[in-house]
Amino acid sequence: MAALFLSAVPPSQAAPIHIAPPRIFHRTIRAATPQLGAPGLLPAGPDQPARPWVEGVTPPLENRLFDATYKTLPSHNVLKVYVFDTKAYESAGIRFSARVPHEARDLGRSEMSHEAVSLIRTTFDEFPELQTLDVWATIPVPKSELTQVENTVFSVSADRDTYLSIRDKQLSDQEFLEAFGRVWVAPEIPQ
Amino acid sequence: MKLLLVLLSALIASSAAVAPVRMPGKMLPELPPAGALPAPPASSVDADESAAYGPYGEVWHVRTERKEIALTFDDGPYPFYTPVLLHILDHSRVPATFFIVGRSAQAFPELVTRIVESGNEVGNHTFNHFTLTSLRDDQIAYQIAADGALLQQFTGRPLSLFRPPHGRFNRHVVAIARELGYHTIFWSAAADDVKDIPPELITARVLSEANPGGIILLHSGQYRTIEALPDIIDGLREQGYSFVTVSKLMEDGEGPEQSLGR
Repeated sequence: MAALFLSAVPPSQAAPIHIAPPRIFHRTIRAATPQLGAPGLLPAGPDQPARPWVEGVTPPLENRLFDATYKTLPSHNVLKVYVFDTKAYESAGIRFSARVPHEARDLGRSEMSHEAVSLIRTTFDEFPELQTLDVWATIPVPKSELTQVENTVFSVSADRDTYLSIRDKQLSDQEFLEAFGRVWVAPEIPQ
Repeated sequence: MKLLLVLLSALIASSAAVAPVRMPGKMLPELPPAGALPAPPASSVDADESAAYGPYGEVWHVRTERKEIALTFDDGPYPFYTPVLLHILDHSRVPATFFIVGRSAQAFPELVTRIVESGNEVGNHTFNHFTLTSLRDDQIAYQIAADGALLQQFTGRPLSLFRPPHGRFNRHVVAIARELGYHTIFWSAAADDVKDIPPELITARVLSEANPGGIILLHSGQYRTIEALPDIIDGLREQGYSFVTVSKLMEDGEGPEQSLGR
């Protein structure tokens, strides 16, 4: 019986498996600062309310960005915002839902494009310190495909210089987004 | 007995199941049917011959007298994180090697373009980031080939570097990658930065493990890694290191082609 089992195992699984080691365990290095949990993962408390809409990289800025952007979308479908403040180069990200809350449908390409344009305009107009902004839309992944939590169906990477060069031009949403480079729209998304 | 065999077969089949890959058909490379791949060749590398190469011909470190070192970033590209990472590398004039996951590259093509246009090297990190040692040979080949076909559209030429997800490998993984034209690249130093550790600790680990010909493992989607990166760059430069891509490191090293048995 054991022989039968072994013969049925794919060769790649029968071969010895190696796990590449981090190669740092032979010495102890003390951190200069105490180890902390990621700010966004800290347990909620009286002074630290749960804020699932921020990534926790720069919570104050992220809160401000969320406040400014979630209300610009008709269905308030901003899921999470991210801001990195390096004091020299500030970058942000906004993830929004392509699945319309309380409706049994997903946003189409033109709707997602319109929402992305709104988010880009709002962000660069109200946050002059931000240099780049990535905007992407996700839909939940069915439990039968448990390879990731969310499935990205739309993305665009925007930068301030390009934005300033097109801000006052009369462009369609599609033209506006294309000015930033490649825009990703999943093939299954309806036009 | 028959029932037991059926249950056993079902168990084995379910353990090897893979979620379907979502890619436009035209991007998918033609792959050989299951079982059509040649048997993994026996390694021609003597494990004792060199500290730089593993028993299956995988690369851990490049032997060189030059004080060159390669920063490598696994996973992604990630929105929000990758632009900051690229800004720091560009600003510091440091080339790096990005091992990119296909499904992320597909979803964020502009970020891959920026990685390539900034002069960084791109390596294959499979299409779905599955643990390859759990897959059949044909599935392993598919994961590597699909990612390579996608990324080649950005680089304009075939990729030559591959790193298995989660650092899990066996002789099949390395041999299949080699059959597809890849060097399998690991690392000589890692900061274990996927765990939530302070940037100071990430920096300290990298600086203490640095050596000529070293390959440093870092991850793209960790903001503490990004916070640590300027200090890592400054610290390595103070130690006299210059930064190169993995391919350049191997090019400057001592005969990787021969050591890989190609």
